[in-house]
Amino acid sequence: MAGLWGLVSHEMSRLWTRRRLLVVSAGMAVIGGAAIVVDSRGLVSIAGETMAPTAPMLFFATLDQLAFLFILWPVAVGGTTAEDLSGGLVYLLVPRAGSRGAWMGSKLVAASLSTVLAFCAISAFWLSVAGAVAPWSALGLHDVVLFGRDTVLAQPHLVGLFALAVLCVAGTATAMLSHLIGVLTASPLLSQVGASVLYLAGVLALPPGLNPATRASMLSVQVPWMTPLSCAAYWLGLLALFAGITFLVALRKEAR
Amino acid sequence: MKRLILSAMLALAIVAGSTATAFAANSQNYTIVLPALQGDYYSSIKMVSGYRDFGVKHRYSGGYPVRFAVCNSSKQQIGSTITAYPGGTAADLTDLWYNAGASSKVVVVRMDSARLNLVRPLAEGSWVWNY
Repeated sequence: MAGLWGLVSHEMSRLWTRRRLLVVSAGMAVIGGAAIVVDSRGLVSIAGETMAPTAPMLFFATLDQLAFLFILWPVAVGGTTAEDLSGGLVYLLVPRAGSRGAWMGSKLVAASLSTVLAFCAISAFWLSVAGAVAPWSALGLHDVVLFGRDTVLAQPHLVGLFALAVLCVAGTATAMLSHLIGVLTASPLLSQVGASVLYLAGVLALPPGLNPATRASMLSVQVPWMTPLSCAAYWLGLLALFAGITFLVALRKEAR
Repeated sequence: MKRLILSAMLALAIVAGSTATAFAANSQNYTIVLPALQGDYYSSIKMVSGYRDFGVKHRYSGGYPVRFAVCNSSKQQIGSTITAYPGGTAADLTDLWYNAGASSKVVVVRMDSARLNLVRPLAEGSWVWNY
């Protein structure tokens, strides 16, 4: 277990010393912050009546844009499996971890932690920008956000936290797709760019119910099938699928 | 006297009827595939009479919110940017712009999908003006 946490710490330091992770996160934070400022000058129509957007409206609308970050997320936090395999680092790390399963486990934990840290930081920045340019009020929020409509008026923070948690699972799933391609090909470039291209292909080709961009836009897309549980199940299913196949391939290679 | 009152009422009815026809609201349905990545789409031109409103009944857009902004014929924005969510078949009329001048103005409406998305939502609804 100590070996696993040592590897997680090693993996985290590798990811967070990458300039591209900081650039992608900072870029998204700035773009979202600018969008909040611009949108705060507009109006929102609710049942035919127009009103100025509130801070939660602006924040929720922008939180949905995180799905756009997923195109670059495999490049930001993925690719280390392929780097280990192609650079021979795997022969040092696997004995330290105890098994290939523990080595892959460290990748999964590090990808999850990095995603949670980055998304929480970005969200906190957007929340502070929204709070600075618009009033804090739940007024009209239930007409704009159908997702969790019953609780959004009483406890909007719970809906926001749930959506953020689902987005963190989604981000980890796209990172695991990169590790899956990495364990199959051992090519750092292919594992990162391939995962981004596959995500983009899914966004462009899949129907709305299965489309990852739609499933990550749960706060501003008003369709009946977009229930909180179905979105969580969609992303948890994808994460389990990608992580499961990655672990199976890694363990199969260990058995040889 | 009775004949005078009846004639006056008849004249009033004729005047009211002709005036109502002249100021009847215009409407036109739209079905538009909006560009991806918040790309702009401009409606066809509409002539809005003086002291009259321009609005929209936005029915469908695949669940996505749509941003509307009334612009002049040079595509310069003259009204507020208003985000409207699809209201279904019984969508409410959202007031987008009021022509505060006495003269008629030619306007177009700029629309975008209000989200930085890669999908191209199909938007449907009706423009209503001169009401």
